[in-house]
Amino acid sequence: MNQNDLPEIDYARCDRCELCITSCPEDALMMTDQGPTFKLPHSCTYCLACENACPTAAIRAPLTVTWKSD
Amino acid sequence: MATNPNDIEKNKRLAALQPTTKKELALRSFTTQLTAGETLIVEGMPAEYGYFLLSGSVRVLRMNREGRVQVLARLGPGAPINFISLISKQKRNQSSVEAIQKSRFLVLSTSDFDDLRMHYPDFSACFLEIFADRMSRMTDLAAGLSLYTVRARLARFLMALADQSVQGDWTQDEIAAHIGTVRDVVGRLLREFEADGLIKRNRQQIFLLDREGLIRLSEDDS
Repeated sequence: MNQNDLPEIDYARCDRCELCITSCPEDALMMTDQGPTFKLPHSCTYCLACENACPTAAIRAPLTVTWKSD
Repeated sequence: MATNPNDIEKNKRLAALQPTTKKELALRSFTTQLTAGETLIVEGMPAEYGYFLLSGSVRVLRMNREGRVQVLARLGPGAPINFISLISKQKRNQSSVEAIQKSRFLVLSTSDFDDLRMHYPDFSACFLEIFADRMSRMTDLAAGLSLYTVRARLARFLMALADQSVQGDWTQDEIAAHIGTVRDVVGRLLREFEADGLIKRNRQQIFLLDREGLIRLSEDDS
């Protein structure tokens, strides 16, 4: 897994409310001076809870859609 | 610096303008560039400029009554931005716009926009078409909202994404804005689709498994 597989965090929009951190069921995020950061990136299941919790739309978790080939 | 005429020619609507109008537009406008996450305009601030998105993509945001930021739309190359705010009586930006990825814009000031509208009928007609198209899209959305369930609209949109008739990576918020619902409903329906065996999620990937089932669902008007 690389950084592209994680939700994107826009630190300019982030107001450091920590709702993303408390909403993460895997406890994958932590607050740093810069803002929330994935302390355990491999624990992130891309469940979208952090994006749903963010009140300033600072977290963006894009989805790609394809047909499953057999 | 004036806009490069090539940038005007690449925009389908602007390319159809008369040569003299295009020349005047190129002289009066300029281009600017934003990187991902940078803000183009802020909701509520005086509307000073209108834009055409030349490349990249942006999201349109507005603060709701609870103070949460909501995505209203996602726009791609060619999209006109903020011209309704320039015409409106309040002359305030009606929403915020920020770049999703590196994006370039043609920029036109309010006074130049007004001058061009007044003195170049084809420019004015171009904007009538833009507003008519927007009205038509809103009518389609209203029809979709009244004729089809949100499940049907989401099924249609997922198939359009997979068939690449709609481009790009979309967030739940952006999908919700596009099909006329809210993020929580999109999230719940994706979970239901997965439980019903219609789709499978693997991190950011959504795989569509059952074409016939999705087509049946997309025609659901109950």
